[in-house]
Amino acid sequence: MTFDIFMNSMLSIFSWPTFGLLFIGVVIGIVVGIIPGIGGFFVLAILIPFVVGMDPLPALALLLGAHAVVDMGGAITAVLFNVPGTGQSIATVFDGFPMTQQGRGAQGVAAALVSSLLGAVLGVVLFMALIPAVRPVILALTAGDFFMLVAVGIICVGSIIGDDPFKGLIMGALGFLLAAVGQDPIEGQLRYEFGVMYLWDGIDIVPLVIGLIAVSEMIDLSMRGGRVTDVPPKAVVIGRDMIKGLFETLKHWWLMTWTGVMGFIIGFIPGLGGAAAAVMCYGWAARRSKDGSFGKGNIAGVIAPETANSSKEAGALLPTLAFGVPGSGGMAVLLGVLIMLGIIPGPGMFKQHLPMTITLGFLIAIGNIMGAVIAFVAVRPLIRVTFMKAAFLVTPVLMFSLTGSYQSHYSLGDVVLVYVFGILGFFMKKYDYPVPPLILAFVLGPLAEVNFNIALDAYGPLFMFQRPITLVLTVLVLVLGFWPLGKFVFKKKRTVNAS
Amino acid sequence: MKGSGKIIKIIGYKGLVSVFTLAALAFLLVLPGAGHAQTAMDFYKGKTLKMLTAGGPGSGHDQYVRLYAAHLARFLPVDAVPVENVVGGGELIGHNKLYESTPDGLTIGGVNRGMMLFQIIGTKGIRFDLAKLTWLANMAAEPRLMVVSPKGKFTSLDAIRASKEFKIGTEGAGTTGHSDALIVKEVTKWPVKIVAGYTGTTEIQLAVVKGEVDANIGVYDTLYPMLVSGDIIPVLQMGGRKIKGLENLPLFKDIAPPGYEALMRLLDVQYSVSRLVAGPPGIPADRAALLREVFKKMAEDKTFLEAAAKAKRNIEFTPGEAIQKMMEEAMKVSQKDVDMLQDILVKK
Repeated sequence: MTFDIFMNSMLSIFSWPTFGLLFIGVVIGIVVGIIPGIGGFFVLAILIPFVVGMDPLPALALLLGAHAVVDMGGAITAVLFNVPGTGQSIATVFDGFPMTQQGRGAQGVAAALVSSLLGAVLGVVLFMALIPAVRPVILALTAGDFFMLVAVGIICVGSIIGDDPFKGLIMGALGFLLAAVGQDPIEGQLRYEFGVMYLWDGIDIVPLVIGLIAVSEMIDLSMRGGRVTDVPPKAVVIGRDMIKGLFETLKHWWLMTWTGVMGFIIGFIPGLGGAAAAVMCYGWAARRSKDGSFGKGNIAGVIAPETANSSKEAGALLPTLAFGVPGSGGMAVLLGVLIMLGIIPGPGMFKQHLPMTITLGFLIAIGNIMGAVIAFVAVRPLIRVTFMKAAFLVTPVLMFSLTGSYQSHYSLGDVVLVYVFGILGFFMKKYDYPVPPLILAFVLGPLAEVNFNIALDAYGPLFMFQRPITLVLTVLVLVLGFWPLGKFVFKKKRTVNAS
Repeated sequence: MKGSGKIIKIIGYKGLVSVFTLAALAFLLVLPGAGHAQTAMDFYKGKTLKMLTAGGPGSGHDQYVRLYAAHLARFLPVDAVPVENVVGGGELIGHNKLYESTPDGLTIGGVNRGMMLFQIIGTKGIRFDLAKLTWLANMAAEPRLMVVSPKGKFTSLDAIRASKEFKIGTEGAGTTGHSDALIVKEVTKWPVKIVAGYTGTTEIQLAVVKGEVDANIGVYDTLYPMLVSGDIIPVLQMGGRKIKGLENLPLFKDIAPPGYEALMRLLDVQYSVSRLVAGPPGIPADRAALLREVFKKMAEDKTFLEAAAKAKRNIEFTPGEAIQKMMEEAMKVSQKDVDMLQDILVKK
């Protein structure tokens, strides 16, 4: 890769109309992200008709610009209203919303925007660095490795079960159970569908999350009245708090690096997706935290998932370009557009089409920079909304939540589920049953099931010992799994010896 | 009033009744004939033609239906052609809804060819009968291929036959790829091991390249990028018309032993159609004929074809009448073949 190609690829983005379309895409992406339920997949679907007949570069600027920043928009409502704008912002609510309740909403939003931006940039750096070795790296990872990576995430459930381990474990089990509803992905047998055909396809994450988190919060808010935050509006200086949030985020550079790399790796594993990246990295950060403040407004709980779901974007682009295998639902749509524009993914993307590949990476990075600046400037009115009385807030949030969940599949069944989970979430909140373990288990359960089955069928029951990478990951899982037990035994022994 | 009194005087009451009766009869006789040329087209004037799809937003089925919807108003005097995604139940809910919708010609939709096998084996939840739908057109033929890695152990059918284990990756039971793998296993008696659970056919292709599985059976259009890059090579075409450039590739029916003729005929029908359009049973004949004509015109229309080409949607039209016959024939399966299919697809 010569310096010339690198520079020319970057400069091509600043040509007209590419730059203008990138800007339009970014604005659309942020707005769509703020509306709950509809994510990157949706924004691409609505923009595709507009790019028909365009040159590849401006067309991809519009699409990738919108897709790259959707989760940034989703994080804003996740932090401010407990409404994850996209499925990938689900983990952001766990600590983001408590920050808002504590009057630190502006800091939370700033943390989400900065970590999204830096996560995306880190992802693009890794994307560029991996270009020479992309195919061997992607081919090196198999289903056994994917299962072990997911197992690492599941082990982290233990770190986010809250103050009462019993309640936390019940919620984790409920998450696995809800994920099992519908046709099982291997044999097609129906599980827990109770004769309802709507449930054959399983429970979708959008109504589950909107119901459990957003609607339950609105029910609670309308019952107790008052405002989202008890901190008086005059005590909060939004601009100052946002700058404070920015610097606070930068202090967590090591966490951002870790979760950025993890998000990138999860991104280029087809089938795992951004929601898995976010919840796994949230679980990872919670496990590293020693003060038990996760779930109570710890800024690291916003930084970890937001860095991960942003860095996964560049990661998901790699298999899409290298093999035509989309790393996410949004990338599947983008793949169709690439082919439509005459760009056939494959080894050629890293040879004769290398400038285009590098340009795509830059589009993600520059799109995120634009998105962060726009959101930083435009988010102030939304932060002020959190100081409004519940009576003014509940109806519009509920309206957006319900229309958003309907729009994701145009299914009335989803709307019914939003209500069911809203009521369930309200009682969970009332009796202190934590939501994070349920969400983490719901997202990771099916991934563990299918990858375990594939590994078992493809490599046999000893799949974990057959390949060096799988073996290393197996050891990591065992160490992480038994670490608390080992620590406990070691501590006890030392106490006995000392006494 | 004075005039009518004169007429009564002239022709009498009985005569008047006769005149009215004759006029009414003439009106009744003339009405259907006169309307026939006009009514079907006039019927749609200012109305809304709804298109249903059982696929979710953004899916292949959804994209095809939206493509037709965007162009139908140029051929029919309708006000709007909205698309409704009726998702869930492994696409059965959408197909049931299409079958049970009012047969007035104002609701039509896309039909998934995979429903043929589901209906024959008596899948729970099916309330439709494909043989009774009003078939309007088939807009594409997407042949399915079995592909392997050129760097793998099995680059020819002989190598597969001689193998001890041949792993085919699938997305899991209930998908066309899984049914294909089960049928291949039964018909060829190859030592097929199915590795199920992949989230998409492109993911299985990647597993083939990695050597995690030996083969994938997928739609030609989806396999295309990796076929072009040389990461995968085709070894078998599952049915339908031979693909241009792959004329030497054997067809599945060519390697099937005797005893599976009915199954091969069924698969051939299934693989020669892909993007089917139908309405509920009992649409008035004139409206059905008009809708068939509209889809035919659309499939020949330059603007529509350009839009389809830009969206990388290959249009290969088969008239509705031909599909109607094809479906009626294909769904007449003997109990012996139903048992065999159930044995292959359900019990195994």
